[in-house]
Formats: sequence, structure tokens, C-alpha cells
Amino acid sequence: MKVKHHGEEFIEQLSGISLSRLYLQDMLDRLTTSVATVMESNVCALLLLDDSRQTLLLMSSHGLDKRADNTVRIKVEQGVSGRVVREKRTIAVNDVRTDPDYHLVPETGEEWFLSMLAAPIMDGEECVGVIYIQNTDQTEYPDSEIEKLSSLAKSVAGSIRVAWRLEQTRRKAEVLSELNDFARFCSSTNDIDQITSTIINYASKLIGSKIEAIWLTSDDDSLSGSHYPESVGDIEWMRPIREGIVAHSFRNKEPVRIDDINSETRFEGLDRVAKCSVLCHPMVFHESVIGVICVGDRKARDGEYCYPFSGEEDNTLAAIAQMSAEAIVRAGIHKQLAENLNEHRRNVKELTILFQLSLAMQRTISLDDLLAMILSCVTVGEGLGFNRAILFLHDEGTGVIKGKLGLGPSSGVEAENIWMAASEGRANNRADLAGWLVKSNFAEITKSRFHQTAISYETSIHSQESLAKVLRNKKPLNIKGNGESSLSDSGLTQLLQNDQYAIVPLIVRDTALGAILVDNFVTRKEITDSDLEILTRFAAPAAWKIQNVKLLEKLASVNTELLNMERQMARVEKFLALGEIHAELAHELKNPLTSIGGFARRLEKKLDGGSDEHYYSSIIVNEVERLESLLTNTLEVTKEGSDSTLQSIDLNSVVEQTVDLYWRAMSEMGIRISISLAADLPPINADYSRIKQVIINLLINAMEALSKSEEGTYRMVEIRTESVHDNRSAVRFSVSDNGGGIPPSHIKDIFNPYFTTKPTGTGLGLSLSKKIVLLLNGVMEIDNRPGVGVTFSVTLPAS
Amino acid sequence: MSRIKILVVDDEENIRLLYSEELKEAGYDVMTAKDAFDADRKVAEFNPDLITLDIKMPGMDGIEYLRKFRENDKTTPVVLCTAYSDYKKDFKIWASEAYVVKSFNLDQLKATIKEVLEKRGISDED
Ligand SMILES: [Mg+2]
Repeated sequence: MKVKHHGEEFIEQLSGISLSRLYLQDMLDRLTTSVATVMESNVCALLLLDDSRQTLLLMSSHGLDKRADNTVRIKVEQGVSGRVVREKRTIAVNDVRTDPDYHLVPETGEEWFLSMLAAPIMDGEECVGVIYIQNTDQTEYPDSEIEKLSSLAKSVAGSIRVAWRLEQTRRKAEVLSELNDFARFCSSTNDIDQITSTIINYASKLIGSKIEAIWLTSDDDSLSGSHYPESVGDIEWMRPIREGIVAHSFRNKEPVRIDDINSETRFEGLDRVAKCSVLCHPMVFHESVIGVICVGDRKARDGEYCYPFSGEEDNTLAAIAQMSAEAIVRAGIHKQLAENLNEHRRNVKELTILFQLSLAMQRTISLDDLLAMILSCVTVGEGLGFNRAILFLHDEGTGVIKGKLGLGPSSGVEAENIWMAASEGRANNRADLAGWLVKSNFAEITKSRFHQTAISYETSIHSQESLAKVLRNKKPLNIKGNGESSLSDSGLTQLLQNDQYAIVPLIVRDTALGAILVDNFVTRKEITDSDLEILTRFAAPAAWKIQNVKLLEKLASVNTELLNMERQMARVEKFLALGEIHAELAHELKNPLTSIGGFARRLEKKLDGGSDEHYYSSIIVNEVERLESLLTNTLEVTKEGSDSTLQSIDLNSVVEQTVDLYWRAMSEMGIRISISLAADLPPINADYSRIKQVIINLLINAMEALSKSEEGTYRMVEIRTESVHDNRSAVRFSVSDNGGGIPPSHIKDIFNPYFTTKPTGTGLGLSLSKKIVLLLNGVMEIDNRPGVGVTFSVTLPAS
Repeated sequence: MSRIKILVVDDEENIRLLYSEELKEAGYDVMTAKDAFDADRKVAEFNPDLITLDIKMPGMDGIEYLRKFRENDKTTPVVLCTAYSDYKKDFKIWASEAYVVKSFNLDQLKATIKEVLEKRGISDED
């Protein structure tokens, strides 16, 4: 018998299926094929109830479009299959076109089939699914066929149940394993973007959603900062709009599950056109909601149809949301830590720069070098790293602000050259910024084109230029440019060929000394508020140092005067030191000289006037006389100067009295004497006898010079006094002669003690005079005109 | 007729010889001493009317000796002989009779001695 034969065959096949450890899908596929064969029908399909017990899912089919397997769902209140579940009995339909319950499922391509026989799959008293066959012709199924399908359905129920449970367990294990992977990933990264994109990937994989979005809370506890694939960006209902799904889940800390948004009424912003299912879960960490994850559109296997999410999938998303919350919070904490660390590093860097600069600044005292160093620090990579910088100084006297130094390239090519040269210079020891800065060379920098541009700029402190405003307001200014800013004045923008720059004033004790301007002309990097803050902090010590160096330079000019005075003193010292030796020597010589001279004189007296012996004695006497006067003069030079008593003296009267002494002698030599005394001469503080000695020495010097000129020539000595007013009030007297002057080859020696060109001179006259003048803080000068004459003038401070 | 007695105190022998020859020639009785210690003995033995005293001597120098000498003798005139001319201030302090700057030419010394003696009314005793 055909039927029995088929029945036996089926039982055989069935037992084989049951005993094999196949996966559910394989088992069901074989089952439907076998049933179709046994029942000699075109189609066999098997549907199982899902967790909700409200929907039948097409698990396997034979003779229908296989793409519909695991995709097509039928509600239990629909169609013939629904009625089988509800009534728990086998139902035969001869012609589906006449059956009111029939519900066409177009995805399966079943429109070709007219007759249908459907039997319940029972697990004890409970119906767990439906198995049905279909035929293309109108068939009235005989009772035997009905009985046959019913018994087949009964016989496979147990196996299906076991396989179904097994399958569910296996799926759960898969999901758990995926969740485990997900958890491991979450703890392996702190990159928030990476975490959110991974959440979306896993959600899509485990839940089968087509669209996903994650919303995170911002500081003000509202939802912001979404993370989702770009294609989702404009789906209104996935956005955290008021009264929307996402906002509801966030506000109420509860999940939302929607099978079909077309029949959903609780929320706003739903797109009523597209058929879509939705799962939305709050991400909760320690009772507070840190964000929401929302997925939608449970995809069909071929991506074309949309079906509700299952309870399992809902649970899976809940687990993902929970793990995501922890991962995101941890990433946030890490980000905060990293930011703190970065800020700490920035502070350390900043302090290092300031420290290095102060070190470098300690090693320089020239204003030019200091400015070069400051700009180097502002532009060097290890320093503040701006592309270019200009230092402006403000002249308080004139109110003019001028570019003093510019450092940087005027073009990109030049930038490369400069920076390459600079990095060669400090390649070996990057830590020693100070050492490199000290080498910052002012002269080198001033050769650059940019420097020339920089120093061409000047403006008044009262002008409307941004630079002037910065100095007046004593506040930094960051000009962001964008071409139209009203702050961006044309002057500097033109100068820089750039409308994005920042200016920081250099302030000391509420006075703006100048300013530093920076820009990123080459890299076009934006100057951030943080950049400006560092520059401002850098500017404070730089300003102080500039102030100090300016003061130092002022001091230096005073110091030059002091140095001159010191050199003068050194000359005095030299004379005094020389004098000490003279004193010793002179003293040792005095006694033997006295004996020699004394006895020579006695010899001279005792010997006959005309004898050779008398003549020889007289030579000794004369020579001793000369030596003794030399010694006396030496002792005068060395011993008396410092002890001399100072008193207020009228120079005119000393001159008059002294000239009187030599008037006759000079007249006898045929010298014409001219005296010109200033009427308003202030008194001087000096030692009378010393001044007299100086005048005598100068007069004798003049007389000796004139004695060399030929008899009968015109001989002239002119003596003048006058008051001098340059830095301080002073008086001057001068003695001029027309004795032919001093040969240029001798001029450097004339103040040298013992230098003399005169046959009888000792050379001490001028040297002694000069020493006396120096001791009185005066100056002796010579105006020598070789071939004409010489003028010695002595300037002494008035008392 | 006893002549005016002068004691020449100087550490240098040649100077002592020069002074004594010149002063003897000028009509004085002259004795010499080579240092302060010697001078003390000669003063006691010889009782001079005037003393010429060198300043720079080894041991006790002239100024020190003068101070000591004045403790016992307030009257006998002393003429200081110096290589320098800047002892002026010291003379003011010690109130010596006079000073001369040493020179091979003793005219100045002799003139000073004569002046001092005349001022004191010391002359050749009758
Ligand atoms: Mg002596």
C-alpha cells in the first residue's frame, strides 16, 4: 500500500533525523522535505510559536521561497495556521480562495497553491507550532490524509521540542560568548569613539538591528553627542526630541520596546510611513543614566522586511547597555585623567621654558641680546613654538611704539631654511634650551627680511591700532582674523600679510614697556586661549628682565664715566707707586751725595783757583748740585702731594705772584709776556704752594723751549685764566709759547718722569706738574703745534 | 776764651766728618756722636751749647731722641737735619728750635745755627 509504504519510509527517516545531532534548521529542513514526499504534496511548511506565543515564525519550508524561512511571521489571530493554533486541530481547506481565514503571505510565493492541510504540533496539551502541506490543485483531502498528517505532527513534536530547546541554548551560548567578547573589548580601550562604534557593531550583530544610535549625557545632564552611523543621522525618531522614544527612555530610566512604530501612539516624531520595530535602553551606571542606546528595524535575512525584536534580543540589548555604561564611564574618567595629565605636562613645559629663559637671561646683560633671546624662546619649537614674533618697545618720552626686533620667516621656504638651521644648532642636547638661547644672535636676526619689515612699523600710543590698545589696556589680544574682524586693523595685518595674530603686553609695575606679537604664518595653526595664556605668563618675567637690562644699560653709561675716573686714578696710583721707589732711592742717595758734594766743595775752596784740581772739584760740585736738586724734586713729588693742605685759592692771584718771580728772567731773555686773567673766576680748592709749583714748572718749560730758538727771534709767552662750564664749574689756566713745539716723536714721553731733551733738565717738571693736577682732580692737556709752539692748559674743579 | 760747643749727632761717619770740619772752620768747638746712646754720653761729658740732630738713624731716631732729651733739658737748642722737607708738622709738635734740609752745601745749616744762637743770646763767652 502506497500510504503505508510511505509511512514506513517516513518513520525510518524520522528516526534517523531524531537520532542525529543536527542543528534545528537542518532537522526541520529534512522534516519538511520528508513530509512533502510522504504526503505527495507540492509544499510542506513548518511554523513555530515564538516566546510571546502570539506569533508564528516560519522555520522551514519545502516547495516555497526558501528566503522566507526564519523571516515570515504570522500572528496567531491570522490565517489558517493561526486557527490551527487556536483550535488545536487539523484543518483542511480545499480552495483557499473561498476560505475567509486565509491570509496570503506573499514572501513565500504561495499564491500558486489552492488547497491546504494544516496540523497542530502539540507538546502535551500545548500547541507549539503548525505543519501544513499545500497543493496546486483543488483537493479534497481524504480523512486518511488528514489522519496521516495529524499523526506525523504528533510523532515529530517531541524531537522538535528537544531540538528547539537545544537550538535556543546554543544561541544563548553564542550570544553570551559574543557578549563576553564585547565586555573584553570594552575594558581594553579608553577611546570613547572606539567604544561607541563597537557597541553599535555588537548590537547590530547580536540583535540583528539595521539602524543604531547612542546618545550620551553632557555636563548639563541633557543628552547630546550622538554616535551613530551617518545614514541614521536624519531619522527623526532616533533623536532625543521632546516626548520622543529616546528622551522617554532617558527621563524614565526605562527600556522601550516597539514591535511596529506604525501602531505606536505613546511617542512623538515617529515616522509613520516606514514599518519599523524599535528597542531602546537607558545606559545606567550607579543609578544615574549616562546615555541611551536605541536600535531599530529588526532586519529580515535578506534585509528587505522588518519584524519585531524578540524578548531574547531585548535582554541582549539590556546587557549591552549595562556593559556600555560601565565602559563609557570608565573611558570618561580616563579622559579626564588624561586631560589632567596633559595640563600637568603643559604646566611643567611652561615652567621649564620660564626656568630656561630666566637661566638664559641671567647670562646676558645686553638689551639687544635679551630681546633676541626672548623672541627665540617664543618661536623655538621646544619653547612656545609660534611661527613668528615681533617685539615692540614703547618710548615713554615720545609716546611712540616701534618694532624693535622681528624673528621669523617671511615665506614658507624661508621658514624651512631657518628652522633647519636652528634645529641643527640644538640637535644634540634638546634639554639645554638655555644654552641655545644664549647663542641667539641679535646681529644675525637683524639680517632677516622679516626683521626689516618689523622695524618699519611704528604707531602712537594714542592711535587706534590694536597694538596701541593692547598697551593702553594692558591686556592681551587674540585676533582670530576671519577677514572682517573690526579689531583686526589694517596696519599690522598689512605688515604681517596675515589677519590672525596675538599681542601680549610687556608690563612692569603697571607700565607697558612694549609688547610681543606672535602669529602662525606658515603652519596656519590657530592661536588658542591656552597658547595666549602661556605667552602672557612668559611675558611677565621677560618684561622685568627688559626693565632691568634697560636700567643696567643706563648704569653702564654712568659706569663708563666711573671707569674713566678709575683710569685716571690708576695713573695717579702709578705715579705714587713710582714715588715710593723714588723716596727710598732718594733717601739712600741723599747722605752719600751730601758727603761727596760737601768734601768736593771743601776741596774746591782749598785748591788754587787756576789749578786743574780746582776745576775738577768744581765739576763734581756742579754735578752734585744737579743730582741734589733731582733728589729734592723727587721727594717733593712722592712725599708731599697727599699731605698738602687744601684751601680756597684765587687762581688769578697765584698766577700773578708766580709770574712776578720770573718776570725779570723772562724779560732778560727777550720774551714778551702777555697775561689775560678772567674777571669772574671762581675760587678753587687747592694747595697754594703746589699750584705755584705747577705754574713755575710750566713757565720754566716755556722759557727752556724759547731758549733754544735763535737769539733775536720773536719770543712770546702767553698766560691765561678762564672759567669753564661744561658738566661742572671749573677753572683753567694755560701757558703758551712760540718755541717751536714738541717733536711728535717725543710727545708721548713728555709726562714720563726723567724724560728730558734739555741738557740740564731733570725731566721731572712736567711729570710732577701732571701729578699735582691729577691729585687735585684736574686735567692737564697739551695743544702741541710742531714748528710753532705749545700750549699747556690745566683745568681744575672750582670749589 | 771758650768757644761755642756744638754736638753733631749723625749715624754716618762721613757726614759727621764733613759737619765737624765745616763747623770747626766756622769757629765752633765740635764733638760728634754716632747714635742716640752715644749722644747721651757726649751731652753729659761735653755739655754742648747746641746740637745738630740727624733724624734717620738706626735704633732710636732723631725725633724720638729729641723727645727724650727734652724731658731733662728744656733749653739747649737743637737743629734737626733731614733729608725731607715734610717734617714740618712734626716740628710743630716737638717745638724744636729749627730744621734744615740736608745739603752738601752747609751754608744754610751754618746760617740757621748762627740765627738760633743769636736768638738765644748765646755767643762766644768773654
Ligand atoms: Mg742718617
